[in-house]
Amino acid sequence: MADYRVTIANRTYDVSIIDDQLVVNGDRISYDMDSLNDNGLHIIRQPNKNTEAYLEPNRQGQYDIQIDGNHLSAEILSGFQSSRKRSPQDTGSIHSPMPGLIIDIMVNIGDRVKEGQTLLIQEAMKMQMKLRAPSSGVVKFISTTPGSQVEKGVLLISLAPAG
Amino acid sequence: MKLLVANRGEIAIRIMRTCRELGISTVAVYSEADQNSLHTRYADEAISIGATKANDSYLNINRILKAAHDIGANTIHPGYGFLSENPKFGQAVEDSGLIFIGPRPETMAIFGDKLSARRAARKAGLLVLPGPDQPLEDNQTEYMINDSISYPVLVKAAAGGGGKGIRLARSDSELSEVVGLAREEAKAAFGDGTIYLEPLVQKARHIEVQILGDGKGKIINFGERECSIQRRHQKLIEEAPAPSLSNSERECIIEAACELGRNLKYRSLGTVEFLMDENSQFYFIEVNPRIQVEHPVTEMVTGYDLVREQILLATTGNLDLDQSQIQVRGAAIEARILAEDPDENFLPTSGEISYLKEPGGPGIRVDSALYQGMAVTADYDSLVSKLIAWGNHRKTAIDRLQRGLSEYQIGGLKTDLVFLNQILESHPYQTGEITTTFLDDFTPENNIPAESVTRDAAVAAALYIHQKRTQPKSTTDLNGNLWQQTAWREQISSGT
Repeated sequence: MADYRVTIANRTYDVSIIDDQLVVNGDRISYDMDSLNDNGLHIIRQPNKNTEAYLEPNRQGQYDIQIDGNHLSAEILSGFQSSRKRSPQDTGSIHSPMPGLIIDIMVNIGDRVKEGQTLLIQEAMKMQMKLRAPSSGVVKFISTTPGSQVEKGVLLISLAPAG
Repeated sequence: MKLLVANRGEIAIRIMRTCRELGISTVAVYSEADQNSLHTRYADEAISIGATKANDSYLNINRILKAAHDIGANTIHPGYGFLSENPKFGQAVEDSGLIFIGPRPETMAIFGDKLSARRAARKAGLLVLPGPDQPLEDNQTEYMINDSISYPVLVKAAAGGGGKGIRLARSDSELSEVVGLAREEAKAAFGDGTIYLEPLVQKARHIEVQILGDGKGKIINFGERECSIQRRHQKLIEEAPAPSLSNSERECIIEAACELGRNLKYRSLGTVEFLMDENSQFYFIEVNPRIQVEHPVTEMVTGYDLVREQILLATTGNLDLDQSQIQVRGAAIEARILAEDPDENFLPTSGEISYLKEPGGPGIRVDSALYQGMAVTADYDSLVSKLIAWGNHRKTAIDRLQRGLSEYQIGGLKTDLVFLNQILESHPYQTGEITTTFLDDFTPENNIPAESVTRDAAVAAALYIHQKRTQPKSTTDLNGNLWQQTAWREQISSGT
């Protein structure tokens, strides 16, 4: 079983995949997807409906999706329940939301942090932004330093699950 | 006959397609960055002309001429951009005994300098935008702003074209600020810092007339186009015919363009460009003495292949067409697919094309240089493809173009596909109320897709990641394919 929280156009969908069952925001749905080539083209089969979707990871750590003439981007947070697939990166990572200057980093590697705790401050266009932990955990690595100029979408801090 | 196309990208392929129909063998030239490009593969022969930087390849007259001689080409087509408006190129081609597909070098020289173009148009009796025909000197701004021209004004490069190097000034202080910048830009883009002033026409429409001349005074026209949808003075969506012109206005503007052509005994294809103000008064602005990016809309409504006519005229010296043969039927619209990000002020984008699916079906034409695996870089123009739609009415053409844009799938590169569709969808575009400042006031409707679409996309995204993580696809896919192939082979062999 695996759970994914997908955000598209400010809408959030909690998708659970349990064997061949799919549950979206609490509703069980019939949905089947196959890759048509190695380049991201997929076919989605639902009752009375076949849809073509093109998916690819983008440089901001999100996924670009072209579906029915719409160009969307999806942010995906995942939390694996299965121990076999447990992966520390899944708990949380903080990317720069915009190009800008890293002003301060308030944590060190190994620190335990709580969900919502401010981890670092970024300044862009004369505006300071607090970047907070998406979940509780332990700071696994910090890939920036105060005073660095970073592009949009750069991985800044990665958290591992606490415990 | 062997024709060398001194260009790259979609226009090089476009020209070679006509050559193939005419049985003319083709030669592509390419820079280092273009060694795998589509135009090199489409051509019968391809020859390297130097490094990626355009100055070392596509803008280098000597290298292109040497390539032509080495490979035995007798004709050169310059396309648009690069050397296409450079009279020295036309002259050098003709001096070396080859056929140049374009106007006489003297004519190109007149239109290469926008100030001499204004004088030529005035002499032919055309109404030219007010303002001095003299270049603007740094310390002369006060003298220049007088009875004939008032703010707001545009500062333009005399050697300019393609909307580059244009700056707006609304007051003396703004003018003195931008003069230096405009001059530097002009020098950098065109190697000539001469600038001049033109009044800004408010609520203007950009209307242009396609002409073809035999060089002896015979001029025929293929009607007009409207190209008012522009970003940074560069065209984005073009159409034929112009939706707002009355028949008498259309006749007037076409006659003015033809008169200029006759006056100069214009040779080859050319476009005479006008601005029309809100009182339907039209003013000459410039001539593009070459094939234009937006020529396909004219081809769609007239049924004529302009490149074919251009080549036949250049090789035979005769223009056998008559005006009565040319009729405009229906409407056509072109959308420029650009490697630019409309959300980031049209900054150039780059990337490798990971997936490509082009639209098709009734009334659709795609002129493209894209291929799967292509690395799109910022080395050259950001235009990567053109989508053109024809319909028997403007509304049908819009609907088709919108359908085509939504069918078009380009993976790995951010483009303006969605933005183009938003423009076409907007009320002012649909009703034909378009001016050159359309995009200044345009904010795309916040058209959030239907919930069912984002839901499908969300599930697809979750499954995509899930499949990537749980099924190392190398084994499953390969096994599946192998099994299918084996089963297929067995069927074949058992059947024989």
